[in-house]
Amino acid sequence: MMPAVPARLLTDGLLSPPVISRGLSGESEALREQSRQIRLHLWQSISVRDTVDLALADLEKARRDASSANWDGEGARAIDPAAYAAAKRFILTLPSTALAPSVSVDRDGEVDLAWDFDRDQVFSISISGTRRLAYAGILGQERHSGSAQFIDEIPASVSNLLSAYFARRR
Amino acid sequence: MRFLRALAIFFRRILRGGDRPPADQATDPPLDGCTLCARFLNSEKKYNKVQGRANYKAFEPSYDDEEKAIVLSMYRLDGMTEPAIVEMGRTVLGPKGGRLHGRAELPAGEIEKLPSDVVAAKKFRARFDKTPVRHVTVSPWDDGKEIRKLHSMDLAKVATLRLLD
Repeated sequence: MMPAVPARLLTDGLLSPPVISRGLSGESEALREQSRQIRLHLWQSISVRDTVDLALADLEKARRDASSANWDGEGARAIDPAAYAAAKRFILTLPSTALAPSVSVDRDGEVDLAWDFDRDQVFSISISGTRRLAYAGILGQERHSGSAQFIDEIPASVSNLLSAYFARRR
Repeated sequence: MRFLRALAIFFRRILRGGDRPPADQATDPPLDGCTLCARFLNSEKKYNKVQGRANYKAFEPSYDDEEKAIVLSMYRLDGMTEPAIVEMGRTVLGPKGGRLHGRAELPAGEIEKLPSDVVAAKKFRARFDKTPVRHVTVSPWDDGKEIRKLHSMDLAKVATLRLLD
C-alpha cells in the first residue's frame, strides 16, 4: 500500500518528500484521497516507477547477496531484517523526482543507499534496524554528514541534501 | 578473521615448498609515504568501471576482534610483481570472498595525510604488520558512522583503480 502523498513543488523544481496526514476529520479524509490520487498519477509515470522499481530490485539483490554472515569473506554481518524493512520503506517515500540509488549492505548489516555520480558528487545513507540514518556526502567543495531518525517521512535534513545533489545532475 | 587469513597464507607457503618467507617479505622496509597500499575488490559495488575509479565502499572499515576496534585492512604492494599482487589478492579474499575484480591503491602518505586537508588535523596512521604478510592496519576509525563514511569517501577520492583484464 503506497502512502498518500501531496506533491508540493519546491523552488528548485523538485517535488517534496511525502507528508503523511494523521487527521481524522472529513476534510482530512478528502485531502488524503486527493493525495492518494496524485500519488497514483505520479506512480503511473514511467520515470517515478522506474526509479522505485530499480531501487527495490537492487535492494532485493543486496538482501540475497548478504543473507548469511560472512557474505563478503571478511566477516561481515548478514543483512539486518529490520534494516531491510526500513530501507524498503525509505525507498517508497523518496521524493517523486529522486534518481535511483545504488543499494548495498554495509559490513555491519545495515543497508546503504548511494547516489555516486562522480568523485566530487557522492551521497550515501546507511539505514539501521532502528531506523537511524547515518549520511555523508561530498558535493564539490562542500562536505556533509549527520544522522537523523526515519519515522514515516524522510527527515528534512536528508531530503534537502538530496535535492541539492540531484539539482546538480539536472 | 585475520588469524585465518594468516593461516591460509602460511599453508600456501608450505605447499609452495617450505616455509621460507618470500624474498620481498624478508626484506620489507618500513612503510614510508610512497609505499603503495591496496584494498582488494570483490564486488562491482566498490568501483565504477565506466569512470575508472573506486568508490567509498572499497574503503569501508570494519570491526577487528584482535584490535578491538574498527579498522581498515590494507596490503602493501611495494616490490611485488603484478602476478604476485593478484595471487595475494586472491589469498586475502579467500574461498568465500568472491571473485577478485581488482584493487584500489593509495600511497601510504595519502592515507596518513587524510583528512588533514579538511579538518586541519591528521587522522589516520598506517601501521605495517608482519602478520598476515604485508598487512597494513589503518586506524583510528573512532568517529560515528556518518564520519567514517565521509572518510571512506575521502580515501576513495584519491585512490587509483586497477582492474584485472
